[in-house]
Amino acid sequence: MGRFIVRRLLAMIPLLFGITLVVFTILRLIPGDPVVIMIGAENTSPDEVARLRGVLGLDQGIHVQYVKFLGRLARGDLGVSLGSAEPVSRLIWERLPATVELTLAAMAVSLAIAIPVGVISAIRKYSATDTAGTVVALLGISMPSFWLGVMLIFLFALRLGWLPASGRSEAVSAGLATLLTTGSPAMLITAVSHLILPAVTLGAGLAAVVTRLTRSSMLEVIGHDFVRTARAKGLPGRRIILHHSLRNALIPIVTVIGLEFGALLGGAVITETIFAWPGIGRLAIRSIVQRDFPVVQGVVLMIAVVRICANLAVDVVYALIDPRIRYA
Amino acid sequence: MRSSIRASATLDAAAMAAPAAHEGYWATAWRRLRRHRVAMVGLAIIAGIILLAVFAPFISPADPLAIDYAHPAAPPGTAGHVLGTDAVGRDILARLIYGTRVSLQVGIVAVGIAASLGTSVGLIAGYRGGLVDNLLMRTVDVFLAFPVIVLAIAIIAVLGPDLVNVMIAIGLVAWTTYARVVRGQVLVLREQDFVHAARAIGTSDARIIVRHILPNSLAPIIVLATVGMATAIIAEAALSFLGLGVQPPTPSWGTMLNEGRGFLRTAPHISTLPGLAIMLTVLGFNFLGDGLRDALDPRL
Repeated sequence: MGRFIVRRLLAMIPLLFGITLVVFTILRLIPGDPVVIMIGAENTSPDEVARLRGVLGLDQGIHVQYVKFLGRLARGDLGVSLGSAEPVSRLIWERLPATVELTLAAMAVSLAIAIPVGVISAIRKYSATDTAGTVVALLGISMPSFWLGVMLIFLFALRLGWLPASGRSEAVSAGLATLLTTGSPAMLITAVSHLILPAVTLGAGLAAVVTRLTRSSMLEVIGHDFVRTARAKGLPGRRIILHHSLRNALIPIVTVIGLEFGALLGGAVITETIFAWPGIGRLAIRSIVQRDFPVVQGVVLMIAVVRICANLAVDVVYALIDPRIRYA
Repeated sequence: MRSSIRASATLDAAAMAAPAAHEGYWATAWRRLRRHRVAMVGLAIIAGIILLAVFAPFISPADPLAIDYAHPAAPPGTAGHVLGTDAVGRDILARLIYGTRVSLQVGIVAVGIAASLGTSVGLIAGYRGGLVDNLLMRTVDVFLAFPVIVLAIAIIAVLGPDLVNVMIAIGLVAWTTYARVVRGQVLVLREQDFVHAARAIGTSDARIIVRHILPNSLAPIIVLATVGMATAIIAEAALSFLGLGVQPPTPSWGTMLNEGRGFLRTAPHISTLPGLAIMLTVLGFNFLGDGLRDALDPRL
C-alpha cells in the first residue's frame, strides 16, 4: 500500500510540471506587453517600461523566466496582484475555505439525495418511483447550473423569502464551534441558511449523475450470486441491501465522486458568481474582468493542483475499500 | 463495432437500398436508431432547433435587436409580444429564435475543433505508440487536470471575450476525450488482420490511418460529438452568463439569462425562458447521443 502511494506521488510530478507549463504559457500568451497592461497605456514612458521589465524579470529569456517562476512557486510565491498589490497566495488562501466549504456542502447534498434515490430506483426497477427518478435525473443532467441557481433565488429568496439570496455570513465550522461553546445556535443557522441555495445549485448536476450511476451499479450487484446466497440464508432485506449490495455498488461511485470533485471546483466558479459567494471562483472572474492576470493564473493553478490531489486521494481510498485493487 | 473491413466511411446508396440480410453497418445502425424512441424525440428537437436557426428571419415575429420603448419588461402574452419583452423592450421570442444560431454555431465549430484535434492526436498516439504516444497522452493528462470551465475561462482571459474566441476556447478544452477514446480504438484496430494485410502490400502509414483505421473508429467519435454538442452549448451559455462569452446586444441564451437576473422580482420570465431553451436543446442532443450509443455500439 505504501509503495502504491509513493508510486502515485511520483507519477504526479510530470503532471505538475505540465500544469505549471500550461499556466505559465497562458500568462505569456496575452497579447501586448504585460508591463503596459499593468500600468496602463496612458502613463508609459519608455524608461519606466524598461525599468519595470527589469524588475519583473521580463527582459530575460522565456526559459529563464519559467525556471524562476517554478522557483518562486516552490516557495509558495504566486506573484502579486496587479490590482491590489497584495500577494496572490494570500488572496487565494483567504478565499479557499469558502470554496472548499461550498464544494463539500454541494457534495454532501448531492450524495444525500442521489444514493437513496438510486438505491430505491434499483430495488423497485421500472416502478413509478424509478421512472420519476430517471426523468428528474435526465433533466438534472441537461439543466444549466446557473439557470437553476437563478430560479432558486427567485423562488426561495424573492418569492418565499425563506433563505438569503446571496452572500456568506460565517463559516459553518465557526457556527458549529459557537454552538458547542456558548450553546447559541443563531450563528450556525445563519451560516447554513446562506449555504443551502449555493450548495443545491452546485450539487444538482452531480446528484443527477450519481443517481444514474447508483441505480445501474446496484442493479448489477443485486444480480450476483452472493446476494442470492444472502437472501437464501434468510437475511433481512435491509441488511442485504445495505451491507451486501450497497457496499459493493459504492466502488464505481467513489471513483466518479473523486473525478467529479474537480468538476465541482470548476462549477463553483459559476455558482460563486451567482450567489456572491466570497471564494476563489468569484476572485477569478473578477480578476479576468480587471485583467489582473497573476491572480487568474494563481487560481487556475490552485484548482488544477487541488483536483489532481483529489484524484490521488480517490485512488488510495479505492485501493482501501477494494482489496482486489493494488495497481501492480 | 463490427470487425469486418470497411474501406470507406461514406454511406453509399447501394448499401442503404440492399435488403436487410446484407445491409451495411450504417444501415443497421439507422434501423436500430429509428426504433429508439428517446433518440427520435431528441432528433425531432434538434431538427426543430436547426429549422429555427436557418429560417430565423422568416419565423421570427420581430427584429431581435429592435426596442419597443412602450413595453419594457412586458410579461408573456402582451399584445405583439407572445413571450413578452426583456428589460429594454426587445421581443424575447425573437431573441430566443435568433439565439439558436449562436448556440448551434458554437456547438458545431467547437465540436469540429475538438473532434478534429482530438481524433488526430488519438490516431497518431495509438498508431505510433512508444515515445510519441507517451508524450501526447501525458499532454492529455495535463489538460484533463483543469476543470473544463476553468480552462475555458483562462483561455478567454487571454483571447478576450467574443463569439469566435468562445468557440476556440471550448474546442481547445474538449478535445482530450476524443484523443483518449480514439487512441483506445486504434490500439485494438492496428493489430487486426486487415491492417496487417494492408501493411503487407505496402500501403503507407498515412493511408492506413485515413482509409482503414479512421473509418472503423467513427462510431465512438459520432457519439462523443453528439454529446459534445450539448456540453459546448452549455459551456457557451455559462461563459456568456458570466459576461465572458458572446457580448450584448447579440442574442445568446446565456447573455439573456444574465441580463434578466436584475429583474427577477418584477419580470422573472426574462431569465426563465432562455434557461428553458438551453435545457430543451441540451436534452435533445443528450437523448440523441444516448440512442446513437445504443445503435452504433452496444458496448460503449
